[in-house]
Amino acid sequence: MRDRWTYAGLLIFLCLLAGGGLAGSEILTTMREIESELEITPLEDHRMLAGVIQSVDFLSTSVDAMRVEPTMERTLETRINLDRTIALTDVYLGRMPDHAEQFGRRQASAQELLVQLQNAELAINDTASAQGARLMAVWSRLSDISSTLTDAYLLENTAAVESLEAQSIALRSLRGDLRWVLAVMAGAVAGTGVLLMMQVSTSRARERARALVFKQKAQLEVTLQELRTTQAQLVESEKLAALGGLVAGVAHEVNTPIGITLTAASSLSAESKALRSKAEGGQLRKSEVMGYIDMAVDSTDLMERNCHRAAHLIQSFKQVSVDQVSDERRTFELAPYLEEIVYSLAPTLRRTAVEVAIACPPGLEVDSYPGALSQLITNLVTNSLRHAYDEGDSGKIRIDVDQHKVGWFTINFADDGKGVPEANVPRLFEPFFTTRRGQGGSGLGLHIVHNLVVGRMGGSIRFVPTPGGGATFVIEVPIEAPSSAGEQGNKNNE
Amino acid sequence: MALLARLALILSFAATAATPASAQDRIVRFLSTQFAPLNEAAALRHHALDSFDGLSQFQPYDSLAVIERLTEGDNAPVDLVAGVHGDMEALAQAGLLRPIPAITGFDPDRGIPDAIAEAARLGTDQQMYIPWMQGTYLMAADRRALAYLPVGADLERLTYDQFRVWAAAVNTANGHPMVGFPAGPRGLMPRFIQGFLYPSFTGAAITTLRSPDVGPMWEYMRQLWRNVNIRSLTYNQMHEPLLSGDVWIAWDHVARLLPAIRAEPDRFVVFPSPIGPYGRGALIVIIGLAIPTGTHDVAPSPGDWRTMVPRANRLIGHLTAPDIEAGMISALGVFPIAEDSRLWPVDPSLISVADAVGIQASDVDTILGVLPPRLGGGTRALTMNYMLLFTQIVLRDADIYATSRAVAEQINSVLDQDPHPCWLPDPVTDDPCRVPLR
Repeated sequence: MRDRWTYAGLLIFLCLLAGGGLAGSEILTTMREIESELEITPLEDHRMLAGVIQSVDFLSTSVDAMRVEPTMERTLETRINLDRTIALTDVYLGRMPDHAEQFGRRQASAQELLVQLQNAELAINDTASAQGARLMAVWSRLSDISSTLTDAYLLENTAAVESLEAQSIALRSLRGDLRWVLAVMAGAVAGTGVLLMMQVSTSRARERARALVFKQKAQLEVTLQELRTTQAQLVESEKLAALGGLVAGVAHEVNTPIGITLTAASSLSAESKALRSKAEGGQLRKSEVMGYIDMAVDSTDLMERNCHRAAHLIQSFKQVSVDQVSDERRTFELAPYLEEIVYSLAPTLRRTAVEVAIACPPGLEVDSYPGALSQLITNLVTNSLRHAYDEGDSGKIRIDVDQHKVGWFTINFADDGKGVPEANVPRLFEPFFTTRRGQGGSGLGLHIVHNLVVGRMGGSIRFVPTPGGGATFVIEVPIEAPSSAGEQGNKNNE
Repeated sequence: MALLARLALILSFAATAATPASAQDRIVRFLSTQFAPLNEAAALRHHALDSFDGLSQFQPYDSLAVIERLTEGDNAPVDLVAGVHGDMEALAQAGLLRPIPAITGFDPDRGIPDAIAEAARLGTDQQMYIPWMQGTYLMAADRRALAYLPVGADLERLTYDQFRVWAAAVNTANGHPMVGFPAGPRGLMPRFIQGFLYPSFTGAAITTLRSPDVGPMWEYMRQLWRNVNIRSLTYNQMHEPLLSGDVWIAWDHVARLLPAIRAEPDRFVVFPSPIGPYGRGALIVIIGLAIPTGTHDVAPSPGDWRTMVPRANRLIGHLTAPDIEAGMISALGVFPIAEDSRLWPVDPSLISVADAVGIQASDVDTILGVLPPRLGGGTRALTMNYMLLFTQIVLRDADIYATSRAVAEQINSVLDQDPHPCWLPDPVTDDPCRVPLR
């Protein structure tokens, strides 16, 4: 009997989880339309997929929380949720041999369900992405689901429905017509998702669904790989792994200058059209031409300044990616190289009354990335000049190198400036954290330093408050850099 | 009488200044970190205080800091405090608890398990609080699963090896795993790892986090996990999967098993957590009663501690009476520590639960553990590190020793933020608690 059915028609999940708004009446109408031509039977395996989706939801929530407040607790929660999600996905895909048997007999139907779900998502979003986490993105709230719908299609756990906030999504087929309706219901108290799916059959849809299995399975592999990559990122640099947050930060930062540019361009365009209209009508006065020119100069000036600002932000962002800077690795003597770096900063330092003093054991050779070292020292010096001293202040920056343990060297970078307010210390290395927003600070300088030290040079960096003022960064790096970024972190945690 | 007492209390809250000093003096001011939710506070007042023939003023606070502040204050002296072991430890460290001389003399026949009596001394040679009620974590099974128990297995003394064999047999019989753990995002699985698994297999939880015993322990968990329902990763409370039949054998906090037991008492059996190579690791939430140093409840003439704190003594005597303690099971879901009260008749549906709680607390093999103390803001991070060990090693198949080392470093960073002596089941010494890294 089951073979007669495929899942291209109607799938119903009722869900407790978050979403946004499709009218219940629309779903009902759609269901009635297709009900007349399609038979409906329930799928067996529903709670497993509900568990996956629920787990993704928790992961998504904890990632968001971690981005806002990257405490150890939130990072741990994220890693645990990620492990849970990967494990459930593995089992769902039949990739965990010990548990495959448990769900094996339902696996085909479950996979096809996911195929439907993802295919529908593709249709809705018109993108090629198949990230598992994006399943969440297509859910929408069904705030007024009717009792008729409930009675008709909830085949189990009906009692729980009353206490649930039901949600569902409507999925459009590739042709654009509303074909599939999904809703997920998770037991609020049970913690076990109860996913109720209705399946209907049409031979054409069945064929299409089957054809999609292989393609979608590959996409699921990609999804899993992406989850694993995320895990690696978390492990490599737990506090700063929120690449999504970084991108969002860039988007947020760039949005302002681009928005100003767009406004100015629109305004210029509108004024130009008005000017042309008057010129064509022979009504143009000299004062209007002069006014237009003033406006055009102001607008283009505004556009130019904001395009520069956007370009600068994008350039800074590119530097964050360790792979794009300072790739060369070689053996070099540390002391003279540090002198070279500071010498290169002389033009900047000359405009201040701040001196830089270096104390480094002679003859200390390291096998590392000189470009990265140069970048991080430059960023630290620039950071001190910008934040530690007011204009005209004199001061001293010390760069002391020593070797406390075999195979490693330590750079103590210390200034005698104003120090860092205690409240800002936990956020020092966060991307886009700056106390100089609007005054030229991008909030990326120390973040780049962190990425270079941890990601490229395989070391660690920490801020040490200095009694009586000043700021000290202690950087510990191996004399022989790891062969690939993040190697140290992965060794310790995987 | 109860009504009069309530009325007196209300008056004392509403118009303290106007209340005659003599009436004020007769009220036992009773603060608690426990039973703070309104329904629990109401249940405690109704069940335990309405029948008290003196005047008492019960006020629970979630925050220990509030209790500390009120206990330090002199305007409205506090006469009695209830709290969990960690609260008592914090109050004692702040010098806010009066030692209770010879607690065993309080009622030597009550039957307080030795390990708990020892815990109540807080590392001193004096009793610092009176062990009163307890909560803990137990196992429950659908009676259908009992047919697959290994030969010779006794539920009250089930070993971890027998548990694994049992789980596999049930799996084989049903065609899918039917053991469940609350390993969902809001479940208490971390407590199983921290308070049950580690002590049972290594003897402690922090100082043994990197001991050689963790290898066999985690290998055991990997094998057991093959017979655990994978949906455990979404379970937060086990009473529902038990009732739905998704799982036949489950571990969880007793309060999260009780709804299933109450719903179908004939269907389920409840029994203590298993015994491992080192014994039966068991985390017990001890709720104690203590006398603050600032109490004004002192009789004019010197004598033993009962005459020193006559009003509190009367209330303690009432609260620890077997009928009151036994009634707390139904009223508040907490269980008596004293054997006297454990033997008192209770709701028949709860007898097996009360027995299991009693065995787990008093068994000679029990390795008693208490909840971690309030480590600044790091208590939850500490506990979550145990869950990370589980997800990494069991779910992700990470290297046991490398993962243990990495997590040990994280745990040490939490502990270093607020240095604190180790707590049970680890050896309680004066040194700051840390995982040995060498």
